[in-house]
Amino acid sequence: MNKLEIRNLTKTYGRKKANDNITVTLQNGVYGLLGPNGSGKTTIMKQITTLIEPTKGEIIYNGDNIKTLDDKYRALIGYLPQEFGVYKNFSAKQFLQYVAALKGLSKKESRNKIDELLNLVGLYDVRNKVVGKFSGGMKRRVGIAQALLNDPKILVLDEPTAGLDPQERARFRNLLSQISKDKIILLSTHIISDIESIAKETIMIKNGAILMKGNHRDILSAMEGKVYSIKTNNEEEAVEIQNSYKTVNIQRGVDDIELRVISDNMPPYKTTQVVEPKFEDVYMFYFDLENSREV
Amino acid sequence: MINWELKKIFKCRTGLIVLVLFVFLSGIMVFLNPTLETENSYRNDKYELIVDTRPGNEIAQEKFDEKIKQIANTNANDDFMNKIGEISRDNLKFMKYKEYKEVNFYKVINYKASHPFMSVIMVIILVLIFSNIYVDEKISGVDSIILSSENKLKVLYSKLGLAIIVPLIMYGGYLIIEFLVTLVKYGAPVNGGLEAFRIIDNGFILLNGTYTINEYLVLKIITMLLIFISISVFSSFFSFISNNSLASISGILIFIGVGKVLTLIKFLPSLLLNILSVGNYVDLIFYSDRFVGMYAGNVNILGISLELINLCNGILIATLLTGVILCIVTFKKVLTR
Repeated sequence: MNKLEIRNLTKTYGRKKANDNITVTLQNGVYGLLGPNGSGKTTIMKQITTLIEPTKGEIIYNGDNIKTLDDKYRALIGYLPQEFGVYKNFSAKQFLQYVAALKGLSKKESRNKIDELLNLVGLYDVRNKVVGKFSGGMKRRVGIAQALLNDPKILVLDEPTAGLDPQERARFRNLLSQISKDKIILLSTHIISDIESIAKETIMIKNGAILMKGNHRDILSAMEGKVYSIKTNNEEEAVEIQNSYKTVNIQRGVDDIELRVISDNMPPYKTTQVVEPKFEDVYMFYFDLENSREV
Repeated sequence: MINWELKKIFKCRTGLIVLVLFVFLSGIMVFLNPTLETENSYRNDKYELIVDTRPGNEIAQEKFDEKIKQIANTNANDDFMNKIGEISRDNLKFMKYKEYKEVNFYKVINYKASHPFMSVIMVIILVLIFSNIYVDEKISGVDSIILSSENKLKVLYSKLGLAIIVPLIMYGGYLIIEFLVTLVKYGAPVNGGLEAFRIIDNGFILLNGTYTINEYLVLKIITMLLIFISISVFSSFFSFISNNSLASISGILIFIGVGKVLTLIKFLPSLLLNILSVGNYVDLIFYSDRFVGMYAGNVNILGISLELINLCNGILIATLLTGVILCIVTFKKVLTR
């Protein structure tokens, strides 16, 4: 069993607190890190992957401080950064061979693993083509493959599905679910459905601090009775509802307009109905963010 | 990891440019040769080229006699000339032969070992490679993969190692090429154990000791290597701390030029000015002959009299070590903040 304890993690840049007293314990399984841009998700990930050092606090892996473990700890990490790049003159295979060398894999070990991962991410047929000519989605798949090369115990994925088409995303989610049995997987994304479908627990970050943490049931139960659906065929009324309530979604049908709103009190419209909360509602409620619509 | 670093360099455009520059340099230098001791040519008042047609040995003996005359006539009228006079007397005293001996091979190799054209191209090559050695990782976005990997320090130390090895290989390779070409053109090296002043045209009177030709050449090659390696190490350092090529290249150009620029600021302490005027990188690159094995006077530091060139050699070594230490500190403290 892997156990990663993040204790009172604080990271400051000048006066700005990028992370503020984050305490969380991660064990095998997928954890979703949810929060708007600039909320401090990437900073947490960078500290977990030793790219930056915390200003205060510590990270403990199976009882040892990761600073003390140093190389031994980094040998357990697989990391896909948000701004993942490749050497554009290297082929996919060469790039993975290089990363295998970075991760201390022997040539023999890496040969089989690289072929296996190239197959897994669907790049085996183009393995000898230069990565510079790959599409964004293909590069991302190379990124996923490199993160998995050393069969990591801690897999940190920053926006892994950005640029992937729906089919690739589904395949990737299945892959994560399969491998999460004996790994800690920390996944940050704006695509709420990714987290909704695979994360064991979700950690919501706002202004560098943990806003909420728990499994889906816990998080959604907090929204129980606060999400409503209102139907109207009056355009002016629709505008009025939009202005009065936090509106998650507006769906224009043939005869009417259906609005999904969040409110502490039941909106006084005839057609108002309480509906089951979804993750998107939670996100909108706490962050009121436009890009949460990408689901 | 060094193999991977080399692969990265030679898989990108910089690698191709470097190879082209190296081939160009080696090719051009084959045709750049000094006037040998056995040759004499000059231009007269009408700018006509006059070539001395006397037998080579006769010309060489005349030149040699002139050098001996200059060494013998060194007048000691101050501390500086006292020292020069002392060395000159030693040179004359320990001379094995009082006549010209064939030293063509050494004269040519000495000329090529520190030719300003070679030095400039070599510095361009090193700056091109090492100003981008880590900046390229940042630009390509692979830096975070490297820094979160088990072998992170191996990669970084490989880059630093390359900054030391590549100048050795480049300069060594260049010397081997020129050695072979000179061997074919002028025959095997002979008389390397004779006095160094035999292969020096200007400033031989300022030689700081009775160096043999071999000793002088070794000293010169070591000095050139120190110059090249310190430049490549500092290029790497600027690459480690910069976010783009422009900042990195600007950093190393400022590093190379700052010493020369400071010599123009006349209100600086005379000790510093003395050191800078002899040991600045611009002059070391363009006029290393004025530095290697020469005497340029003494300076007083805390009551201790030190030879200026020796002090500058010490500073050159200290600069290289400082560069290495700065890189290591950057690996441990700056790249993981």
